[in-house]
Amino acid sequence: MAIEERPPYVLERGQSLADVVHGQMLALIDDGSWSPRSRLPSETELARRFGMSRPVIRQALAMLRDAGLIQSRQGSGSFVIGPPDAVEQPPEQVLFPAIGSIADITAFVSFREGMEGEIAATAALNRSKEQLATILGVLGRFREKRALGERPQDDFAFHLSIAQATGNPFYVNSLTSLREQMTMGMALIWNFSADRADFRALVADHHEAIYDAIRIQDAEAARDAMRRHLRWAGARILRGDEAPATKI
Amino acid sequence: MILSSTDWPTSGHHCFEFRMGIEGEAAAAAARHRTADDLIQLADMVSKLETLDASKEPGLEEDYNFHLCVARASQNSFYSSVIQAIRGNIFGGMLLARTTSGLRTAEKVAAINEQHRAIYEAIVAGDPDRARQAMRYHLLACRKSTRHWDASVG
Repeated sequence: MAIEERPPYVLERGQSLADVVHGQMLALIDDGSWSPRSRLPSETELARRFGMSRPVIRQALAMLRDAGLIQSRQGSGSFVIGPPDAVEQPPEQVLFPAIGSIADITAFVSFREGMEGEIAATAALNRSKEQLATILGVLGRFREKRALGERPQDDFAFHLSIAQATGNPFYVNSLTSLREQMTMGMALIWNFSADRADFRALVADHHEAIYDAIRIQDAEAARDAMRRHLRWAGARILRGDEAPATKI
Repeated sequence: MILSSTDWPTSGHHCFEFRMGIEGEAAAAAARHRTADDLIQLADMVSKLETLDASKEPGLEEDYNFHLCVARASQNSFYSSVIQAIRGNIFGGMLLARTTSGLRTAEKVAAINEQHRAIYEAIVAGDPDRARQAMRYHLLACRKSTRHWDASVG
């Protein structure tokens, strides 16, 4: 029986044997030796080929699985998902940090400005007529008299309807993952305002400016209107009524 | 910059669109808030990527770490949470971008290295607009280089 000669592995600090095998497996996917949708050899066979124990092979396979590059099916082994398939599956949920301090609020507010500005710009480019109608439907609630307790949900529904108009599930799932932090911030703002009519009108103006830009498919204006609205909302949380009531 | 969706390949379309938005903003925030420590780490990563022997090592882990490090330099863990959540998608995207029908070309790797360096330099210069633009340009270039997959895999 032929014994394969293998150079001794030189492990870098913090590197495990599974990391070495994982790197070699990535290279096989990368150079096309393990092509998309092909079935991988059995664990026993892989252990023989890489000259490693089965636990090491299993660990390396788990890393590929975590990265979404292979899929394992009971009884039929592992398959290469292949980059084209792996890359378009958005994570179900993003684990965002909980808000536990003023510093967290500052980070949260500036992240929303960054992400939702891009969401508004993308929605302006991609929205369908139906999606536009959905946004308009939610928009109407801000001119109506409603229970204060319903405002945070309405507000979230507005921002979600815009994320949905991007047609991009990565944006939708990210925004949905932020629901708790967002509605908490929105509840603060609405409670501070006590749902006064002038406050309601101002929020409605902001939201309508965002909607109008998306309607006429002006990405720059949509991004700008969203960013200004969120900067105002952030200042409202951090400084309350002193925040200047910016007109858009 | 207005992109019409019909001009672009479908492979990784949403992922790259999302990354251009999120990572562009993360890079801009990094240019504003990076610490001395971040700059040392980023410099390390850029030169590590440049010295990899691209014909032997894919450098995927290193490439991912560069992007995570940019997000961390924003000092805003909301950005790094996103980058960690889409780790698998980023790996998939890199495989798409770095390979041409299975072959990695030296020119491609050199172009990617140059784009990483431009992002790094804008962050060093503390220039948010340039950092945003450099990151968006890099991801747009990656997205364009995934075209061949649409023909080969469909």
